[in-house]
Amino acid sequence: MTARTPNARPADRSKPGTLRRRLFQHGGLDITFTCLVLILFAIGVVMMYSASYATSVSKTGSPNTYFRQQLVAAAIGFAVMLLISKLDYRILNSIWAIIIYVGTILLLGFTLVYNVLKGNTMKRWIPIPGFGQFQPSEVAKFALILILAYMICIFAPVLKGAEDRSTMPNLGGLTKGERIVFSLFDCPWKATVFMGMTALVIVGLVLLEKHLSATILLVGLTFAMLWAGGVKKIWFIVLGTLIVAAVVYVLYINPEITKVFGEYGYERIMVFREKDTAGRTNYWQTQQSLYAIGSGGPFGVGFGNSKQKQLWLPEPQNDFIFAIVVEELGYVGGMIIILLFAALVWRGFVIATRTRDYFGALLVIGIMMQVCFQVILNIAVVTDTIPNTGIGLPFFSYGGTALVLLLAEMGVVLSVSRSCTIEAA
Amino acid sequence: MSKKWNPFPKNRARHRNHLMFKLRARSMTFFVFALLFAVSFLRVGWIIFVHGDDYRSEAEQSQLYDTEIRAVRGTIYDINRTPLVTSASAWILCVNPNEILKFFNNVNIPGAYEAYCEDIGGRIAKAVGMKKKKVVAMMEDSEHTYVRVKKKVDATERLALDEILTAPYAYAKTSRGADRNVYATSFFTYESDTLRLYPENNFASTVIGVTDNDGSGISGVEKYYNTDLSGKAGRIVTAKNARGQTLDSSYETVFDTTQGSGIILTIDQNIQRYLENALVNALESTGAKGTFGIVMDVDTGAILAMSDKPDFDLNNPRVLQDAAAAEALKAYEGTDEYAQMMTDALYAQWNSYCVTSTYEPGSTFKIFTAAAALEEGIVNLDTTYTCNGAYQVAGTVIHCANRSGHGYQTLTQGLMNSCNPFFISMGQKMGVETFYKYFEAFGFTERTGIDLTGEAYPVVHQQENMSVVDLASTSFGQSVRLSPIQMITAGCAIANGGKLMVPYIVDSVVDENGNILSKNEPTVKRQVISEGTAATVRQMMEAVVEGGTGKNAYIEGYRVAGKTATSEKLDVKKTDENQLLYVASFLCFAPADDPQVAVLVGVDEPPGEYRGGGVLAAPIAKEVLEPTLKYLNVEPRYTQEELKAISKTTPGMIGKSVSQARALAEENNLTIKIIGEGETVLSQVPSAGSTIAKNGVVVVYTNSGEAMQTVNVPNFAGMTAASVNETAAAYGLNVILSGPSDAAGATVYQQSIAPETQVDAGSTVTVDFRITENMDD
Repeated sequence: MTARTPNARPADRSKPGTLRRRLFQHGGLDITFTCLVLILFAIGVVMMYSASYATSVSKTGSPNTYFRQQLVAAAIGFAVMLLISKLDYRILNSIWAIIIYVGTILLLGFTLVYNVLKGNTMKRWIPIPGFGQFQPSEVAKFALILILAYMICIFAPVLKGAEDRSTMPNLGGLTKGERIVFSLFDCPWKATVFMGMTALVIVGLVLLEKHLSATILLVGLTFAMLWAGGVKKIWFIVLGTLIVAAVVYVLYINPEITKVFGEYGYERIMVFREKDTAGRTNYWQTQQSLYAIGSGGPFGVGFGNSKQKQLWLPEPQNDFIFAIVVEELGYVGGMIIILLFAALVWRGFVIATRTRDYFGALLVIGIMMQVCFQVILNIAVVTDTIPNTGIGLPFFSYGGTALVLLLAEMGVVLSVSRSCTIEAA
Repeated sequence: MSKKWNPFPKNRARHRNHLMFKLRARSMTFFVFALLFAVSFLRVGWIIFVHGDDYRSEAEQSQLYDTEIRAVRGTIYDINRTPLVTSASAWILCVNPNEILKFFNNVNIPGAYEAYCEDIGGRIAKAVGMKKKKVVAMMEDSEHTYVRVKKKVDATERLALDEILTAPYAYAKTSRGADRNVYATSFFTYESDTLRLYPENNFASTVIGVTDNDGSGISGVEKYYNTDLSGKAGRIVTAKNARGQTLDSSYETVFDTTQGSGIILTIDQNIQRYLENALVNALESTGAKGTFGIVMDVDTGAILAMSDKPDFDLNNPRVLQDAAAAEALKAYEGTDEYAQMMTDALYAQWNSYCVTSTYEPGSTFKIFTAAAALEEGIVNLDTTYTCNGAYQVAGTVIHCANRSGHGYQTLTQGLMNSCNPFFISMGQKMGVETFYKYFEAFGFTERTGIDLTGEAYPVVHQQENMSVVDLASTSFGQSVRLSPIQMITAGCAIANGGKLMVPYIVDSVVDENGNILSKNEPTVKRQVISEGTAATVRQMMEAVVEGGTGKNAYIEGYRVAGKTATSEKLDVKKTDENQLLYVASFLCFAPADDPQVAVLVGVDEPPGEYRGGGVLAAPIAKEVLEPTLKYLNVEPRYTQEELKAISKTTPGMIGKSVSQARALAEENNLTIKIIGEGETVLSQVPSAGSTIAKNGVVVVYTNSGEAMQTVNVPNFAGMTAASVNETAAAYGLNVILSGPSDAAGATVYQQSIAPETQVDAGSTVTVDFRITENMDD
C-alpha cells in the first residue's frame, strides 16, 4: 500500500506510509479560487439577508431568522470545505466511487419508495427527524460527477483511441476488478454506452422523483463529463440534436406528452407558454420576478430597498433571489456577480488544467460545470427564458443543505488545487 | 488498496494527452460561458433596458400607494380682510374591503364576516350620517382594496370615528373564553381632505360661488380664481407589500403641498349687507320673481357689493331655494331628464344674475342716448321737444309711456319725464352710424371683462342690420338685452367723467400671511364722452331724483343722480294675454357733483298692478345708498329747507329740576312731557344724545318708582307726512321722516318699528316715504 505521491510537494515532513500521509496533503491552496469563493459567499449571504427580510418578518416575526440559519449552515460549510480541502481527494478514485454511487442510488430509490408509499405528489424529499428535509438529488449530482470521473479514468485509453495505454497516469494502477471491467468494454462505443447507462440510472431515478431541474442538470453534467473525458463528438451531435428536438417538441408542439409524468410539469410548461397571470399562482412568481428585474434599471434601487421582496415575489430568498439582487443592485451589480461566477468557473478550469492528476481534473471540471449550469438555469428561470423548474442560485439561495454541499464541493476543488504543479501554460 | 502508482509515464505522450484535455476543457468553457452570458447579459439587459419601464410601472401600480395631501384652499376676504370663506382640515375615510374578507376567510367562522360588516358599518354610518346600507355595501365590496367611504369628515365626526375604529371587536371566543379581537384600524384609513366653511349662509353667495366635491370651484370667484385658491396638492407616495400593508417610512416620498392663496374681494362686507338686506326686503314686499343689485366704485370699477335674490345657502348649495322651481322639478323626478334639469337649476341658482343674465335695460338707457346726442352736439340743455304721446318711424308707431303725451319739454324735463318720443327723435337725428359709435364705446357690444366666469354676451342689433325702427327702440333701451354689470359699468362712465372702466371683484391675491402677491389695478377701457358731457348728463339725472321719476331715491343731505326704468320683457312668452312682465330698475350715483358710488337695483317680474322703477326700484336704491354714503364718510350737505327739518340731539335732563328741563326743551325746540309730580327729573325717553326730529317729544319722569309709560306703535303705512306727525304726537312718539316726505303724493311704505310693537313713550320711529303716483317712465 503505497500512498499516491504527487510529483512535487512542498515541505511534506510526515513520514511516508503513515495514515497522515495517506489522508492529508500539504500543497498550498489556490488563493484566487479561495478568494472568489469567499467573495461570492459573502455577497450571497448578505443579499440573502436582504431578500429574505420581509418574508422572514412575515413568516417568523423576526427579520433575522433565515439569515441566522444560513450563517449556521455557512459556518458548518466552511469547516467542511477546509477539512475536505486538506484531505486527499484521490482516495475517491477507488472502490469508494462505486460505494458512493450505489449508496446514492439506494438513497434515491428509498426516497422514491418512501414518498410513493406516503402518497406525496412531490417525491424528492425525505424528512430527517431533528434536521428537516433532505433532497438526495443534491447528493446525486456529486455522485454522478464522481462515478463518471472514476470511469473516465478507467476507460481513458479507449476513449482517446490511444495506442499506448501506458500514457495514462493510473493505468498501471488498475485493480483487478477495474481491469475486468475495462476489458469488457474495450472499445470507444462500448465504453461510452456503459458510462451513459451508469449515469442514466441516477438521471432516471431523479426524473422519477419529478425533480425536473435536477434532471436537466444531471443530463448536462453527464454530457460535460463525457465531453471532458474525450468521448467522440458524434455522440454529442446526435444526442444533442435529439434532445433539442425533444425539448422543442415538448415545449411548443405537443406539451400533452408530459402528462405521462403527471399534470404538474404540463401545467408549468403551459404557464410558461401562455404567460397566464389570471391564475395568479402559476405565472405570478415569474411575473413578479420580471417586475423586480425591470424595476432595477442600470444601477438598481439600492441595497435593501427592493419593493418586490415585500411579499410580492413569493420566496424571494430562494430560487428567485437573483431577481431581487438585480432590483437592488441593478444591471451593473447583477452582471458583476455573473462575472464573479464566470471568474470562479474559469479559475476552476485553470486548476483542472494545471493538475497532473486526470481524476482530479475531471472532478474539478464536473463541479465547476455543476455550478455554472445551476447559475445558467437559475437565471434562465428568473428571466422567464425557460419554464419555472425550481433551481437555486449557488452561494445566494437560502438552504442549508445546498450551501454545505456546495462548500464541500468547493473543498474538493481546493483539495485538487493543492496538487497543482503545472504553471500556467 | 492495491493500486500502484506509475511514476514514469512516457512524457511526450502524456504531454499530448494533457494538451488534448486542455483543449476539450477550454472549448467546454467557451460553450458554457456563451450560454451564461446569453441568459444574463443579453436576457437581463433586454428585460431591463427594453421592457424595464413597462415592468416597473406595472409593478408600481400595485406596489405604490399614492396619497394626495389636499392643499388647504385659500381664504376669501372682503376688502377689509374680514374672512367670508375659510377652510378647515377634514378627512376622507377609506376602507380596504378585500382585507376584511381575507381576514374573515382566515378566521373561517360562518357568519362572522357579515356580522362584522353589519355592526361596524352601522356604527360608522351613524357617526358620519350616512345610510347604513351604503356603508355595509362598501365594506363588502371585496373586489377592491381601496374604497372611499366618506369625504369631508370634520373634526367632530373624526373623533366619533376614531372611537369606533380603535375599539376592539370580538369576533370569537378562545377556548378559554377570552375574546378574540380585531381592530377596525386594520381595514380603515384616513386621507386628507379640506372643508369649506361659510360663517354666513347666504351672504354674497352668488359672488363667492360653490366648490365641488373635490374642492375645486364651480361658480363665482371660487371658479374664476380656482388656480390661486386651490394651491398645489402634495403627495405622499408610500410602498405597500402584497398584503396591502404600508411599508416603513424609508419607502416614503413626500411632495410638499403649497397652500392656496387668499383672495381679497373688492366687496365691502357692510355695503354688501346694506344691499342684501334691501334686496331681501324688496323681494318680500313686492313678491317679485327676483331682485338684483350692484354697488360700484365709480372711479375704479371695483364692485363694492353685488347680489341677487333669491340666492342660496353656501352651506347647502345643492338645495334649491326657489320653491317654485323646486316644485316644478319634482314633477320630473325619476325621469331621464331629471338629473340634467337639476344641474341646470342648480347652476341657475349659483350663477350671479348680475353677470350671467341679460335684461332689457329700458329707460335707464336713455342717459346714454342723451350723452351721445350731447357729445355730438345734436342736442343741448336748451333743446326742446313736444311730445304728443307717440312717434312714428318708418311706418311703425311707438307710443310714449304717457299716451296723452308730455307736451312741451326741455331736454332735462324729457329725462325727468322719461319721454320716449324725445329720445327716439335724438336717435333718429344721430343716425345708426353715430349712435352705434357710442353704443359700442359704452361697451354694449362686448362683455365687460369682469373677473367672474360665465359673463353673458349682450344681445344687440348688429350695426349693419340695425334698421331705423331698431334704432328707435334701442334709443330708449328696448329690443336690446344687456347684463346688469354692463349697465352699471356704462353708468359709471357718466359718473366718473367719461371713462369706461373694466369692472372687477377681486382686489388682490394674498399669501397665507396676508402679503399681497398680485393686485388688480383699475383699468380704463376708453374715454367714451367728454367730462363736460358727463357733467351735463349728471345734472339732468340729479333733476330726475329731485323732481322727476326718481324722487323716491331722494336722500336728505346728499345729491343723488339717477334714472328709473320699467322695461317690458318682449321676448318672454306670457301665460296670460293681459299679464305684464317687466323689470323695474333704477340706476343712480351720488353725490351728483362728485360721484363716488353707483348703484343699480332691479326688480324682476313684480306681480300685481303696474308699478315703475321709480316706485319699486328707487326706494331700494335709496336704502342701499344712504347707509353706504354714511359708511364711506361722504359728508352730507343739507339744503336750507332740509336744515329746518333737521333732527336734533336730545339734551340730558336727568338730575335737573323740572323747570330747568323745561327751559332746555324750549332751547332745543323740543316738546317736553312731564310725568309725575316730583321736583327732579329721574329718567327720560329718549335718552340723552338720541336723534329725534325737530319739535320731537321728550318724556321725563319725576316720580321714583313710577312705571314707564308705554305705547303701541301705530301703523303709519299710507299716511302723508302731515298725518304721520299728527299721529306720532298723539301717541307720544318721535318720528324721523325719510325719503321725499314733503313731495306731493308721498306716503309711508315702511317703518323701522313694526306696528303694534310696545315701546316706551317718546321712542323714535323712522318712517320711509315714497311717491307712487305719476311715476311712469
